[in-house]
Amino acid sequence: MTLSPTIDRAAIAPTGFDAEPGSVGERLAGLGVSRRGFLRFCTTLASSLALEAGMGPQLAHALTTARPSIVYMSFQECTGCLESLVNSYGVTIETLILQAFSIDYLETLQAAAGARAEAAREAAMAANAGKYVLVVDGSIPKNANSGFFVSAGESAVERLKHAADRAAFVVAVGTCAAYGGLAHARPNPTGAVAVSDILPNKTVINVPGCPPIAEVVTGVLAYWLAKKTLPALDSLKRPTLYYGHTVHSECYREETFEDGPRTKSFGDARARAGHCLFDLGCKGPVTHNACSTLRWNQGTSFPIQSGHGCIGCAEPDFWDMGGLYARLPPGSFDD
Amino acid sequence: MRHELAIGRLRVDSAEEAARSEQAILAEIERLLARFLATGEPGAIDLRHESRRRAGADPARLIERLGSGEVTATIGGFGRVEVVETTYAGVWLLSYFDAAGELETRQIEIGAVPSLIAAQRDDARRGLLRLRAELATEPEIRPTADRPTTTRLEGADA
Repeated sequence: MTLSPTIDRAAIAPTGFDAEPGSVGERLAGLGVSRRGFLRFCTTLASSLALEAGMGPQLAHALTTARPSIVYMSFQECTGCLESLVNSYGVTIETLILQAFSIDYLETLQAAAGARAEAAREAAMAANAGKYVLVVDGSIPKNANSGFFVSAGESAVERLKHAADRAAFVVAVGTCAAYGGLAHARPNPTGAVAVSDILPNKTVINVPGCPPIAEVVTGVLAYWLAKKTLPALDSLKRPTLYYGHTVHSECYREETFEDGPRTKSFGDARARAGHCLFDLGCKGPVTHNACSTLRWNQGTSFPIQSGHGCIGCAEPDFWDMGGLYARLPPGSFDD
Repeated sequence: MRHELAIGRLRVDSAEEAARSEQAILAEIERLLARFLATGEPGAIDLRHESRRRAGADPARLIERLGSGEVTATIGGFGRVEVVETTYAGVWLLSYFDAAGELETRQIEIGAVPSLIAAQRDDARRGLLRLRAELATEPEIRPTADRPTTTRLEGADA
């Protein structure tokens, strides 16, 4: 902005701030949001996503600059992960963060189809080589010649490797992409494996859950957007920011786990009073996720709060854990 | 109700746990304040985040402990933020509310002035441009012999 004898009304409006064309910041500035209003918004946004304090200004900067490219590819999946992400509840922080990116390929939602869609993906990957984020949901049949999952004449293995080749990093969204998930459950007829099994030399971040919490997916993207680096990961490539604790350790019902009395049947007085659901098969003690802290539907509730035990959906092989209502055997977890 | 669920834990395990959490957050404030004095680097603690990660953390108890100092301010627009300097100079409590008045989060900021309050140069430049544009459209008021300048300026304001 320069001082000029010609008056630019937008430049002297009491509210507004400078932001690059097409950015989220530009849209908000156009609505008359002030810089302080925008910063306030970014601070609460960072807080909602459980990002570290002080990241608001970094996020604000990221939201006023050019949008990085996302290529979103689906393999053996049920679309539940994408539903969780984009269709949970109207216009939210999740959709806002997604708008901070240019989603250049997402076959479930995009208008283009067939050769035109594939051409758009190729063009986006070429134009953003080394810089785009590859988001993947669904598991991958390990044998490229098995005949399971063929799209646009390519096997899942070929498609994934090709798309990952020039990506900055890969986000494996959902338990299927992170560990193989449902398709990987015994007897695993398609030979399904995790994304990271196909890409051993690529940086892969696992965001498991069936589906994952929308804020966790977008929180990972927002973290990278704001800090230009990836969050710390555990041995299963999960961000410790969200998967550092078990559902049990942060659960409000945990205080009756040791001393009792625990809930003995669904919906009984103890269940309604907030007593522990361990005896009803709750897998909270072995499940690492943010359900009991972030919760679901804008922090409204989570399955345990509704009286149903955790089914362990964010852990590897959760379908083969021995039954959703089977009690965890002694010694299978630390408390 | 929603913010209580999202920000505060549904239970406070015990007085001992709450005291331990409070002590840990106070120790972090002490570290950030010492760092600010030594290097000038500001710091921040998200109390919502602390409630999530520390068993028994009770923001209300901590806020009462920090108290209210000399400065309070409210920032409006797109929700509001209430700013209070605690009884410890340089330690600020910022409470963020959405447009419906629901508490969204609370943060402790350590520094001379919370970053949200300080005017940015671009905004100040925008203000300067606007003031100059307004002055350029107003008729020039020349002093006359029979009326003192101060009186004329008061009339122009009205």
